[in-house]
Order: sequence, then structure tokens, then C-alpha cells
Amino acid sequence: MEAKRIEEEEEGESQLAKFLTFVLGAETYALDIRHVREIIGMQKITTVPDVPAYIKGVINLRGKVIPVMDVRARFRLPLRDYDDRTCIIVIHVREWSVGLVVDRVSEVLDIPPHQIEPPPRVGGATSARFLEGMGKVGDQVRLVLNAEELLGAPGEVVL
Amino acid sequence: MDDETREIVSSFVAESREAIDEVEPLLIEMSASGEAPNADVIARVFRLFHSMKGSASYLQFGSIERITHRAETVLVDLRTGTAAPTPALVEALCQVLDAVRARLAQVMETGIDEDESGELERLGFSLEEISRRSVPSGVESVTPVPTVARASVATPIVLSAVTVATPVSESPSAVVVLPLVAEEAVAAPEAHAVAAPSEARHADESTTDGVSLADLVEPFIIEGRDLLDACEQALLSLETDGEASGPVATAFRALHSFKGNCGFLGYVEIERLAHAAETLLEAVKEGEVPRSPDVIGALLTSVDALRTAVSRLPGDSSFPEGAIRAAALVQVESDARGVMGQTRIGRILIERGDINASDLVEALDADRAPVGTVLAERGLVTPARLDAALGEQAQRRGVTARAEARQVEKPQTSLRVDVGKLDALMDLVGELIIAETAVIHAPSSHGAVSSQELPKALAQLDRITRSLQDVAMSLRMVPIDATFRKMIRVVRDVANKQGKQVALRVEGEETEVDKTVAEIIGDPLVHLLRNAVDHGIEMPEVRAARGKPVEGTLKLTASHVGGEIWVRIQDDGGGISRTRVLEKAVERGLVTAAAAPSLSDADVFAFIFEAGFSTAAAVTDISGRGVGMDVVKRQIERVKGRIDIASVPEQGTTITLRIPLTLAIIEGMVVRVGDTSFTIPLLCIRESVVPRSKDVTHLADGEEIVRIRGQLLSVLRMHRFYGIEPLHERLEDGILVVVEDGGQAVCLFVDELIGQRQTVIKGLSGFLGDPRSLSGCTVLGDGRISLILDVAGLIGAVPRAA
Repeated sequence: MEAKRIEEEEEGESQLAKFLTFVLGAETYALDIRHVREIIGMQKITTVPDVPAYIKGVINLRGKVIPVMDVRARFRLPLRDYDDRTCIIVIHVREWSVGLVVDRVSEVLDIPPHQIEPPPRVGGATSARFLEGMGKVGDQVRLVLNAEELLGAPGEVVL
Repeated sequence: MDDETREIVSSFVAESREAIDEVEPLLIEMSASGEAPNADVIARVFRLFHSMKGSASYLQFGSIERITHRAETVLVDLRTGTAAPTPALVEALCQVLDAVRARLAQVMETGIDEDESGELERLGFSLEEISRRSVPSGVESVTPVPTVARASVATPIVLSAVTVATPVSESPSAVVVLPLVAEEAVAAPEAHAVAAPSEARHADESTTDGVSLADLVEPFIIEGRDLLDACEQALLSLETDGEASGPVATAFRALHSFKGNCGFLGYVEIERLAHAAETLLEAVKEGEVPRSPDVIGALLTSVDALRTAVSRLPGDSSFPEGAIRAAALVQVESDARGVMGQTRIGRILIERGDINASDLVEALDADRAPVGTVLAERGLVTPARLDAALGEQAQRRGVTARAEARQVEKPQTSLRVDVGKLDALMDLVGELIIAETAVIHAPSSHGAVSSQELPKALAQLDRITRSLQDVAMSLRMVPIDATFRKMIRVVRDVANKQGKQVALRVEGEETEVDKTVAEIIGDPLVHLLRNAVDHGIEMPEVRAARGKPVEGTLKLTASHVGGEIWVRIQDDGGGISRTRVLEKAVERGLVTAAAAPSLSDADVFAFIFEAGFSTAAAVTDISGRGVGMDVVKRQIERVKGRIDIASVPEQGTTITLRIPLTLAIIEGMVVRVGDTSFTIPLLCIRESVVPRSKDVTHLADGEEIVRIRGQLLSVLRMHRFYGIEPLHERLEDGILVVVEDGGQAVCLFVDELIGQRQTVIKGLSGFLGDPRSLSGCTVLGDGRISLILDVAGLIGAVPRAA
């Protein structure tokens, strides 16, 4: 632990780099924990007209009405039915609270900044633009997401 | 700005805005009452300026502080009768208020108060000028006007050496001082006029004081030398170690004690230089002035000068030559407050040898005007040389262009709440907690859910919830008087400009409206009142000819009527000419000439709100261009309000704005389309019908027209509009909700009606962009979300029925 901290300071990055990881299909993604407000089970989603397909609608979160995005749809991955492990991760980015529907939530991880490599520039995967980097954890790779990119601009309603 | 500062600044801005809104009508009242200003009114206006000044000074908003100080002085003059509340003076005070208001917006934005254009200073100067002229000159010669006396206090002794050359007659009313050097503070040459009397007074003081305090001088000289030595040492250590705060404090303390001693012994001139240096040191301490070699140099020069002055005591209390330069430098650097790291024009001029130090001091001390301008005006420096120096200054500065301060006042982000309301809220929250406990424990304590306690506790909870809702809503309610007060100025300005006499009577200003409503109706009210004065109230001679009082009356009232606020503007002017409105309407094709006579008055007057509609023969700078009324209507519609007009020729016009009490809760009809629930504001619903197939006509383009009570209406299939899978495709299986807005109606086809609900409006997340024709959403009793329809938007989306 001590060694690790020193290592981090040497990198000039002393802030905690904690990530919430979640699973979509075969991949595990990581989201900076500072954006995460809470994790809730699946809720009744009210559809809203005139929004992109990946916006599933809005939910009533203790009286607050917040939009919900299906991350599979956002990444253009094949859709699957929601089950009892499907979760909504409520994140707060810029001035918006938005729920993210994911297959399941995995764990909270420390990924030191120097373990995150820039995303590969090659390949045309739709999800590539949402990536901030590839986080190496042991011999595995977590795809670190850029939350701002994920939400996109408010005007970005037609894809 | 850090958060704390921002908070302080924002509360200062909010308070000041309130103060200004309060002062303005009082001022106007004062001028209206004419000759004998009410002492109480003056005192109130004075207090408001005074407290604004205090806060500005605390926050180091220099230009606001100075201008409010000046205004305050003028108020004192009014009280003592050395100034009279002439229209010109009131006008000047109003201008000052406007300028401060604009400045507040800037301060709110940037957190700094910079009078870059020198506008405030100019206003301040013209204010004093007008104040001085507001009384006949006879009075002035008997009692020296306080403003003048004050100016003389700021005039240093060195003047005596210089002013001789400047004829008194040259003290012009240079109200328009060109802001040549924007950041140099403003000067008013008024100091000349008063130089002579102030000299005399100083002379008196020093002789009497000098004699009576002679035996105290010896200790003063000894102590003074020590203090100056301490000060010098501290300054020198500052030169080597620019960061340390200790030396500044030491120097400041030493100088301060020295100054105190001087003051006590009546060495006014020495005291003044010490004071100037102290002020500069303080600015250095506060970080307002950089610890540049220029600044420290100026301070050291003044310490030298002070030492020389002390060494001549007690015999000669006059000021040594070097002191003039020292004073000049100190003054120059002090002026650098807030403008960091920039060489002052005065210093550049001295360095270039264009002017001598005493001229500079004089120019600086005359008042706070662009010093270069003052010097140029007095012929002390040629324009060419000034330009050269300015060029050098600009060069040294690297010319930093600053974005124009945005003049737009941002909507207030904070709100004053009556403490009583907060107390009520706290009480209810207390009750709520008790009731909640009762509900939680009711089943368990009696072992059975069916106990008598639970229904009772639930009833209690329900009652508290309702009260809580009421109180919470009331927190948003503010008295409308702040909005109304602004109108006093509007009416006065327009009436003055037009040469009309108008008395504005305000009633019901204590009526509470939703904060948003209070903010939004401000602009429409301004338009309507302007119109009333411009088009409504006739010129005095016309009124006299019509047998009406020469002075027109404008009544602005607010009242609660049912679930609405009625704001009524009533004038006793010429009224709206039905004939002329109709002529114009026909001309613009809004109505056919044949149909025109059958229209009701209300329908006719409604044309006024059409864009570009004007019956005014002459376009004035106030109104008549036909813009405005349509904007008024749109604004009022934004808060779901309506406008009624009634008018009788030659007797006047009454315009009533009817606005719902609150925007946060609406009565709505919840309907279902497929899986989606929509809420339609009840106010927009005319009726709901199940159509018979024989009433439905299908047009070739697929549009459906339904006949309801003899009227043909377009059908808007909600499921198609929003792309929802419906329960029913056939019109006869579902239900048609007839909604109307702005005189147009359509039928919305929905699957079923769920029922009528009080709904709390919530905005849709900005993340969702702008879905068509939705004004928000609401959470229903079962926790489901219902989308609120924007009926006006929906109607706009439907092609007009033939």
C-alpha cells in the first residue's frame, strides 16, 4: 500500500483513482467513481417521445425525474432483455443526473493513472469514442469510459 | 472569486438592488413634492445610500463607494437646504442609480468594480455640479456648500504654490470629461474655485494650534524621527524581500502613529502627505497595489520628505520642495488600486519631463478624473505630449483588451423569505417527523395493522403534507411591490419626455405573486405603462379642452381574484379608437371589411397584440412602432396568463393581466396513450367527446376532421404524433379531448381519460434536449411519470383546419 502511494506520487498524480466497473456482454467497463451517485435496481421506465433510441425514457427517483440511457444501445451492442441483475447506475455529469442501464455492476477498483493507456486509435468500434483509455488491472483490461462523451451533447438527439 | 466572496458579493448586489428599487420612487416623490422636501424621505434615501456605501467600501468596490458617497453628500445638502430637489438634481440622482445598477451587474459577473470608462465618476461629478447649482447663488455665498468644502479637504496644501497661475474663472462646469485615460480616475477642476477659502482656513488653524501646542513639538520631533526611521527600514527590507507581510505592517503602523501625532499637533500639510503614504501602504498591504520598485520608491521618497519637514520644525512648518514630488508619486501609485502591474500615466509624464510634480498633484487632487485630460485641459501638457505618453503607457501595458462588461442583469438567484414563513415551515417539518413516527409505530405498538391509531396517524400525515405544500409554495411568493416600484420611474420618464402630466397611483402592491411571475411581468408592464402614457393620456391642453383634469391619472393595481393575480393598468386618457384599430386590421388583412362591424370590442382590441400592429400616427422613440404589444402578449403567455382590454373613447383604457397564482402546480387531466401517460392542463380543455363515425370526415391527405357542436376541428392523433403504440386505432374507440389556446382548437385523440389531478410540474432534464410540445412532466400518485403537454405547441403543430 505504502509503496503504491509513493509510486503514485512519483507519477505526479496523488488523487485516488477509483473506478466503478460494470459488465456489458463480454467486456468490463470502468467509470470514474466521482461521477457515480448511486446504483439502483431496474425501475419502471416512462418512455419520452422525440429522443434518441438509446434514451429509454425517464424514471422517478424519489420524486426526481431523471433520464435513463441504455448503454448497450449507446454502444450499438445487441440489446438483451433486462433481468434481475440489470442495474441503473445514476451518474452526475455537468449539470445532469442520468441513469445508465447496464447488464450488471461488478466492483470498485483502484486503477492508478499510469496503468491507464490511451485508447487504440485503430478500429471502428462505435464504443471507441466513449473510451478514455484502457486500464490494466493485473492481466485484465478494463475499458475506462469518458462520462462526458457517453452522455453527449443535449442537442445530440438525432443519431 | 471563491465561493465565500461570491456569496458576500451576491448578497451585496441583491441588497443594493433592493435598496435602489426602494430609493428610486422616493426620489421621484421628492421632486414631485417640489419645494419643501420631506425630511423623513431625505433621511430614508440617505440611509439607503449610506448603507450601500458602507458595504461597497467593505468589499472594496471603489467606484460604487465613491458614487454613493457623493450621492449621500448631496442628500445631506438637501437636508441642510444647501441644495434643492430640482428636477435636474433628481434626474441626476436617478442616473446615478441606473449607473450603479449596471455596475452591480458587472460586479456580480466579475467580482471586481472597475470604472473603466469613468462613467460613474463623471456622473458623480455632474451630480455635485447640479446639486451646487440647484440653489440660488445667494444662498451659496452665505453658507459654503458642503460639497465644496469637502472638495477643499481633499485639496493638498501644495495648491497654494500653484493655483495662483490658474484663474478662478477657469473652473468650468466640465461635466463632459473625455475618458482619455480610462483607468485614471476622474478629475473635476472644481477644486480651483474653493482653493482660496480653504487656504485661509488652514492658515488660521495652523497659527492658533501651533502656538498653543508649542511645548509638545519637541517630543513629537524626536518620536517622529524614530517612527520615520522604523518605517524606512521596513520599506527597505520590503524591497529585498517582496513577499514578506511583516515589514508592510511595521511600516504602516509607524506611519500611522506619525500621522496621528501630526494631526494632533495640527501639522495639516505633513499629516496629509503621511496620510497619502499610509493609504498607499494600506493598498499594498491589501495587495491592491503591487510591491513594485515604483511603489516602494514613492513611499521612500515620501518618508524622506516627511523627515525633511520634521527637521524644519518647530520654526518652519511649511512644506519642503521634495514633498511635492513625493506627494505626486504617492498619489499616482495610490491611484493604481485595482489596476495591477501597470505604470501610471502621471508617472510616465513626470519621467518624460513633460510636466512638473506640483501640476500633477494638483490635477490628481482636483478630483478623480482622467488625469491626462485634466492636465491637457489646463494647458499643462500639450495634447501631442499626452498622446505620446499614452502611447507609451499602452505599450508598457501590452494593451489588454477587456471584454465589455455585460450589462444584462441576470435574474436573481436568491430570494428573501419572510421569517414567519420559514418558522411555519420548520414547525410543519417538526410535526411531520412526529406524524411519521406515529405512522411507523402505529401497527407495531398495538400488534395489529388494523389498529385505530394508523388511520388517525395517516390522516394527520395527510394534513401535514398539504400544509407543507402550501407553505413551500408560499416561499416562492414575493410581494409585487418591487416590480411596481420600478414602474414609477418609467411613468415619470415617459411623462417628462412627452410633456404630459401624469400621476401614477399604485394599489395592492403587497399582493404576493410567484417569484417567476414577478420577474416576468416586469417588461410587459413597462410596455403597457409606456403605451398608456404615450398613447393613452392626452397632452394637457387636450385634456383641458375635454374638461378633464390637466393631470392624467394612471392606476396600477394588483389583486387576487380566484386562482389568479390580476394586474390592472387603468388610464383616464383618450381610449383606444375601435374604428382606427379596425381600419388597420382590415388594411392588414386580419379581418374582412364585411365581418368587421360584427366583432366585439374585446375581439377588436385583441388585434393590438398582433405583431407589427400600430395605429399610432406618429412613431415616437417610446412607442408606436408596433413592436412591443405582441411581445407583451407572449411574455404573459409564458406565465400562462391572459390579457383583457376594455376601453371607452375619451374616458380611458383598462388593461388587465390575468396570471395564475403559481406556475409550479397545475390542475391537469391525465390521459393515456398506449403505455404513456400525458397530462393536459385543465385550463386548456374545452370538453372531451367520444366521436360518432358519421361526424368524422377523412380528407384526401389522411387528415381527419370531426364535427363537434357544429364546429369542424382537426384531429391530432397523439400516438402518431409521438410514435407510440396505441390501444385503439379507431376514433370511436378512444376519446377526443378538445383543447384550445389562443382562440384555436384541435381534438387530441387519446386512448382513455385517467382523471383530473393536481400536479406538481417538474422540468424535463435538459439532457433530453427539447422534445416536441412537452412543457414538463409530473409524478403521479402511484409514482409513475406523466408528461405534461404544451397545448399551444401542439396546436401550432397542426395544419389549420379549413
